Amino acid sequence: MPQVPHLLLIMVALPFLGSILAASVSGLGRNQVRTIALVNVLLSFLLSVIMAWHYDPFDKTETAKAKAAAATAESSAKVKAPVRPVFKSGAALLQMETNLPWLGAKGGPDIRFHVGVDGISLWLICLTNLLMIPAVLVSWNAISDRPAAFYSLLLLLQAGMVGVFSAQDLILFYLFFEFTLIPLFFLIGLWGGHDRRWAAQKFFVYTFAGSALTFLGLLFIVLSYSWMSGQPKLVFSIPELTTKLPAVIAQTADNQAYWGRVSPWIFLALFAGFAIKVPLFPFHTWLPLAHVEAPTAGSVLLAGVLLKIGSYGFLRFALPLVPEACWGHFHIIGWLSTIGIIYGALLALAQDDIKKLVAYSSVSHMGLCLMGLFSLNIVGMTGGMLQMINHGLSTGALFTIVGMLYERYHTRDIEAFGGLTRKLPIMAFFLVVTTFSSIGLPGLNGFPGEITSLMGMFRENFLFGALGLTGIILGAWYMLSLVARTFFGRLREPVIDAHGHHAQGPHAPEAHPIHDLGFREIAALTPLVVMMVAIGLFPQFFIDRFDPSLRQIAQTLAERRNRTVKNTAAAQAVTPVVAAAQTER
Amino acid sequence: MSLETLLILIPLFPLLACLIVAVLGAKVLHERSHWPVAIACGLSFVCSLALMLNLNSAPGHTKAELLYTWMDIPQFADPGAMGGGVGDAIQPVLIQIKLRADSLTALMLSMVTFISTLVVIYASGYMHGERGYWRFFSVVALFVFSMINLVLASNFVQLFMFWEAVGLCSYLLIGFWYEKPEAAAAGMKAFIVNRIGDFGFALGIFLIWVTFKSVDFDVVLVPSAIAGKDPTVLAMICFGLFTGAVGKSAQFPLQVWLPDAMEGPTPVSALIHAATMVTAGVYMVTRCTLLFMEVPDVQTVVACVGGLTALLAALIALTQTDLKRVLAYSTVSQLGYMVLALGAQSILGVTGGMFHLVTHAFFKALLFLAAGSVMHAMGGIIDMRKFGGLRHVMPQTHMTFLCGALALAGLFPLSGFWSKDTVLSAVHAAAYGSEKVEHHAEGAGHPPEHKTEVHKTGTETAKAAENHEAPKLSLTAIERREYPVFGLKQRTIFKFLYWSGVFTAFLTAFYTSRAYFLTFWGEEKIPHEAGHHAHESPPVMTIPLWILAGGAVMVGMLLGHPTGLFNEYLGLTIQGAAAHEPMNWTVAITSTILALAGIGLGFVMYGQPSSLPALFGKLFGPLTTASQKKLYLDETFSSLLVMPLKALAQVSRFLDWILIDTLLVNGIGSLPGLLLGKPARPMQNGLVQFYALSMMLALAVLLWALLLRQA
Repeated sequence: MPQVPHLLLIMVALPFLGSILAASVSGLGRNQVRTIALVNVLLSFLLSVIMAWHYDPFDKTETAKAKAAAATAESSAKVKAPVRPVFKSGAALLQMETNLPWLGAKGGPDIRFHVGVDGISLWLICLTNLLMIPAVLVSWNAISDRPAAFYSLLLLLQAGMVGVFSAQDLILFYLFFEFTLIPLFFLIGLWGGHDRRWAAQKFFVYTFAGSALTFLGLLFIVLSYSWMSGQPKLVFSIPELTTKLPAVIAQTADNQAYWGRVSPWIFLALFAGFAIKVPLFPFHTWLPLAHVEAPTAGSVLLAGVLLKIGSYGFLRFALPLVPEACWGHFHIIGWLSTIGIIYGALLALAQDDIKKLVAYSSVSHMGLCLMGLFSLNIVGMTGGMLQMINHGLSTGALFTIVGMLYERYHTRDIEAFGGLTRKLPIMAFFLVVTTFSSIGLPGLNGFPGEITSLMGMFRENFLFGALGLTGIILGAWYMLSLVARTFFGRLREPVIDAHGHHAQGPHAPEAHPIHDLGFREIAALTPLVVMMVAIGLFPQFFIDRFDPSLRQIAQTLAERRNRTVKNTAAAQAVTPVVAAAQTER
Repeated sequence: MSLETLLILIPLFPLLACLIVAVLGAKVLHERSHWPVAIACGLSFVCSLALMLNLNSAPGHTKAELLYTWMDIPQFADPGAMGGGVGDAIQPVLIQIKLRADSLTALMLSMVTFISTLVVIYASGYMHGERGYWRFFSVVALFVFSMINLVLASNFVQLFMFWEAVGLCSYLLIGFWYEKPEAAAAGMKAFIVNRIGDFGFALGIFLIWVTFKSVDFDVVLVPSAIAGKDPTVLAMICFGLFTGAVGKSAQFPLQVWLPDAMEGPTPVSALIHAATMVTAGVYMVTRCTLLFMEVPDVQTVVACVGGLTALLAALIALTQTDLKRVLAYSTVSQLGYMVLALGAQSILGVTGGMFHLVTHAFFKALLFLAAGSVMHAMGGIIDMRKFGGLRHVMPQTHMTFLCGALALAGLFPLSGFWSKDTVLSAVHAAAYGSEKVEHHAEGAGHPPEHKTEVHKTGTETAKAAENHEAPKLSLTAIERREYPVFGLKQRTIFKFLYWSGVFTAFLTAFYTSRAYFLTFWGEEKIPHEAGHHAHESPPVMTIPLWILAGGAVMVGMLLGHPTGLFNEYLGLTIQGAAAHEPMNWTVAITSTILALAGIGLGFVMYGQPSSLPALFGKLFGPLTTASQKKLYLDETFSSLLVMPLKALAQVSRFLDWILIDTLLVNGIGSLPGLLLGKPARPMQNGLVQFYALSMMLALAVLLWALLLRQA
């Protein structure tokens, strides 16, 4: 596959340019605009395939050495042992970078346009570009009002999302982070349901308030780094901060004491923005509202990608930069995610609106994701990482299907449906596959993520692990109920009148016949299902790509925990002596 | 063909069949969709037989073939780099998809593929003309593939994966007629109730991973790994695993899903819900014999659950009027027998349980298929009150059903007799066996078959025989520890269990003969749904019936006590199983008498016009009602678990709205507006920027304050 120079820069720029094109050229019809959007999205997806193809975490020479060593050992001992690949480490994992000077004068703050991809961002960028395909395709006929503006905003949103995951500079990250809010605010506020303005506003205010706090936390890190290291130049580079901060803290006892005092506050500031974004219980109430009101494409991207920005933020900033504080808040986050899993599932069980049900299931699943990440060991973090991708795929597919259903019947009331399999067998197939992906059936993508998240947490804390595991029962319950109530049983469908509105009367004539999924809709769902099966059957392929990046964070966490434990032990050992000395005096 | 090739081919055939039918079924194959599946199952059966016969050649009688590494999260390369003590905070996850066969696997494989072949052939007649014919066969092939992989699994996670996969097939096949609301509900119930069991199973696997740092059978299930582990942890592991078995094998209190599963097509009931999938729990516990033998307390729990299930289900089966439901409860009851045997604290119990699994697969699959044949002829009617006297209308179905019924009733010398006798003997040994351990002095010099004429309590013998190989394998369980469990001596518990098992045998004989007489004897009665052409089923359905009938009659004699082949073969995997036990005549005679009594009572009540049923109904009024109402187990389950959770869900929904959203979030969100003296002003777009700004300002002030304090 061809190498593309400045791949990530192009990947951010492409949808941005597409957006400008769609918005600025006047007189474009719906057909032209949506074609532009589709071509754009497909190109982006192609670029992310190229990126995944070329992203190379393996250290080829070391792997060859290990293989050779194993081969000699094998011939001498007759034992066949699989050879693990050897991974690169450190800066070598950040690839396909573009690093340009951007803001700031010489000697002043060095804010750069620095994008790149490492193991953690790799699959999230791919996920973003993958989910854009169904997002455009489900809007194909559903959006007839101001299509140019719609697709322009959609592409703008894509640029923001790819930017968030690839930014390697704090300011750039924050810019993209906020940048994702604006297009979605308008997508919900202009193309949403009845209560769209309130939903858009709540979404915006809530997440913006949180992200403002997060920004302060990030700035605080930058400032603290500058003070502690004694260099006046402010460093905004994320890789530099991540790698050098621990050494700077360890330099002097003052720095350690200072960091010990401020790091819990930094953690809380970061937590505010990311926890709302995830959303972690009890900060989740904006989510169902936003989902219900958002147009289908908005829901797909909101659940599929935007929520991941929260968990990505935890993984990118909180875990490596303030590891002590993560350990300090282990129990709090453990409880919140446990409650989130169970509470979200119970709420999903009580819903009558399909979109709300899926929205609350997101609360439950993202609780599981955070449970994995905050097990703070490599197994659980692997699970959390997988869970991010999996939730994106399965919930993205679920919202897509709900959107297709809504497009046909103009209602999402579960009670209005029944036995739809008879009429819509292809949709039933996709719904059943997605449902089983969502409830973690082995062989599909949900399972590896769930099991590793829970194993990691179980390793640290039996209770959280066991309580989190109840999610698999409740998850099966609400999802299978949904399938049984809408697609099984006797055929019952809402009546549509000639204007395509959901009619109340039972005898209203059925004006337009309901068709099963067409080629466009199958094309929207198939890539998602293919990825579900691929991740379910071969999770190791995906894990290998992010494992080394994740492992560096896990190592920091393990080291720092050890130091915390040692310090506490030392303090406890010292205290009686000091106390005795004081009494002597 | 090498063993590796066989190992790969056995699951490969059904997988290919599944894909072929899934892709081509709707458009190309149509009514020929059964062909690929039947051929694949047949080929798999041939390969399984070949595997079984050639397994001896493999070292350790075990053969494993690694396909690929599913997940591999290694430990840190250099734990020392992180300072001492951190290395143990991370442990590796290594999950390989590896096909592993030993004699236990080979037995299960042969049984599963044999029964599936017959059921698929039968189903090609039974399902003829159904909508979704290809869908049926595609999922059946998927099931056979999953079930084969379940028994071929080499580690607990792989086992769990296919454990869930068979659950999926069960869900899809129960709900095959998805337009029937009962079928849709039953499929869902089966899946969710199984998930409750899987919850425990998964916890058990997690504990195994934490304790053994691996989930591979070859690492975990070896005496040296188990030795020295904390018994409490082992007990928790076994309890977790057993919870999984309780779900899958429909034991009390999770048995509620199996009777409802009869909403699926009858071949599915025969294959999945009688012969194969539901026995996965028994298989899994047998697989973990070494673990369970370490914790006699859990074994006692296992035995109690099994005994209770056997009894309760038999009581319910007494009064059911739906022929398939009678058989379903009978399946639950017989699974209870198997579990009871597994808990009988001896290797004899384990082999007995496994043997009953195999014989039960034959006669219960036969009974279900025969019932399906009746249902086919009666136009879908399965209520025994609506038909009767069918023995002249359907002579072949009648004869084969009779073979199955007698085998189920445990009549000498049919297969059910031999296996049930082993089960009851094992429980009898746990209850009345002698304390003395007769060490077998001359054991070392003789081949195993000769070492066996020893006294009682099987595993001592086994231990003596296998002493050199398995140092502390089986004995812990046999030490008849007279410790109190819930204030009872363990031995007392097993006395209860033995007599309840014997009584259940009587009930079994009775309800079986009741079903038989009601269906085939008495006045000829054919429901109008059957039309005018109620007739015997076509040969494609009756030939599998006859083959199964042959199995139901012969398997016990051929493999069971008279030859000892089964135990000998199983002994390749389960050490101590090969010991040849002498016949326990007390048990054999007691159970035979009771079986005859049960059949006799059945004949008196239902074989001829009689007023006895009505009389009994009056005599045991409330009991009869309770039995008809399935002992209210469904209602109890629902009111203890389902209703409270649903109520909790509604409460959560309310709280989420009032407390969290309205009070906390919107409340706090409106504070700035209130404080700034614009309380009545609704939130508007213009406010958004203002909020952001005020938030930033407030935080900047806070930050500044912190920095000042620092300086």
